[in-house]
Amino acid sequence: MNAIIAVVLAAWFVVSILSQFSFKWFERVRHRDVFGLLPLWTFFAPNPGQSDYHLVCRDKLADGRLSQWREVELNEPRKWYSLLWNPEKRGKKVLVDAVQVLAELVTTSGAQKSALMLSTPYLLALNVVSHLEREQGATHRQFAIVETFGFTPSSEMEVLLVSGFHALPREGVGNALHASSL
Amino acid sequence: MHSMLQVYELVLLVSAVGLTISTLEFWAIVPTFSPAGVHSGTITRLRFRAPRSSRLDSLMDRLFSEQAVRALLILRLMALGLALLAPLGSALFSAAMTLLVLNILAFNVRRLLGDDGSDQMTAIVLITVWLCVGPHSTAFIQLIGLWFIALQACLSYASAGIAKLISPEWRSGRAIFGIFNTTTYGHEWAAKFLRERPGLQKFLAWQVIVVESLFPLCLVLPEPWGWAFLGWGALFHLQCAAIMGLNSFFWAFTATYPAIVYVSATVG
Repeated sequence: MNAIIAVVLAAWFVVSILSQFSFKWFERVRHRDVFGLLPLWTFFAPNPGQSDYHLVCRDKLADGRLSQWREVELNEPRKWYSLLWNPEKRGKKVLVDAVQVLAELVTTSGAQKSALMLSTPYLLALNVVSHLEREQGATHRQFAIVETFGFTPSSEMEVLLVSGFHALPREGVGNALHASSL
Repeated sequence: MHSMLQVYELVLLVSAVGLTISTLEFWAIVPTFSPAGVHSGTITRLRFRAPRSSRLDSLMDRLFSEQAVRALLILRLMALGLALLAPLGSALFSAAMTLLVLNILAFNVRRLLGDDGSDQMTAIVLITVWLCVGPHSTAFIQLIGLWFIALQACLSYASAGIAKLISPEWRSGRAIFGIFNTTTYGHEWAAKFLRERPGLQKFLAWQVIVVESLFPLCLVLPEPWGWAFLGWGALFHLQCAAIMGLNSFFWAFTATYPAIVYVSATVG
């Protein structure tokens, strides 16, 4: 039993080393890591995140008018006690991770918009915005992911992704996602 | 020198503080695990093939529900409490750790995105404790476990340091300002202070690059040099908690330090 444990730990360490390199073949292994046991220790490097991501959405009304863009609150200002207690960091991290996956899909694989719409990060963002309160008479919702560059921005904000208009479920019908877009 | 079990006790205690805080933080944001939240079970389930039977589908719905997450978090605290109260290495301890590890793995499956390095290190440490401390374990496997924890910590720091070393943004120091200039991981006052101080940016960046990259030396250097690395590490994580809000990293990584100290002493 102890020999098995020793072998398992040795193998886990070797795989942990391999995990630090961006081998394409290893991504297939990482994709299967549902338990999250393959560590990635390259924090904020070699490409440090130097921007904030914002999830925004707007509604299309039955008469075709569009509402104002509004932001989904995920980036609350940190409190003085955040060095001890910071539950808000979890929501922000999900969005950061989702955007990074989407950005990779767009830039490296050149994914078509239709393929993007089926990706989990896209569906995650769509799911979140779809459950927000709607404008009176809204029939469709569109979301976007916007990138801003700091407290004293050196660049204009960038729009990373704009979704199509997704049909909202009829009020009272339920929360099933409607992936049809116009 | 402390015995190996005493070292594991320290490792577990520090890790437990971090895990408790982290668990309570998840409890505070448990509504995000509802169907409408960023941790929606509806979306997380898409990773897995849809079950053919409606009964199984219904079971999956329940397992991925917000209520199931609440149950997981409560069970986690109970298992952790039991592990801390049970005599280290006893059958009861092993049983508690088994429940805790299963809980962590289940929770990792439940979450699709949003994990960070502290979650990973905490899981690695606790799984190692579970594997290497129990009625079944010998002195040999306990030593292997401490080596594994120490080596994972060193791999973590060295990987982070080398990844920064190959980055032009980090070598120039711009990364420090860039990160602190975000609402996600920075502070307005830190950004204002650093903005007109490129020399300081570069200094801060390089001290992180150098110490992280050389961190594995703490296993072989004589005292007090080894301790200097650990002292730097603790201060570094404290700074990350204060400025960047990465509070969980402090506990997850300092939990490995007793193992590093022990391994370093055996190497010495």
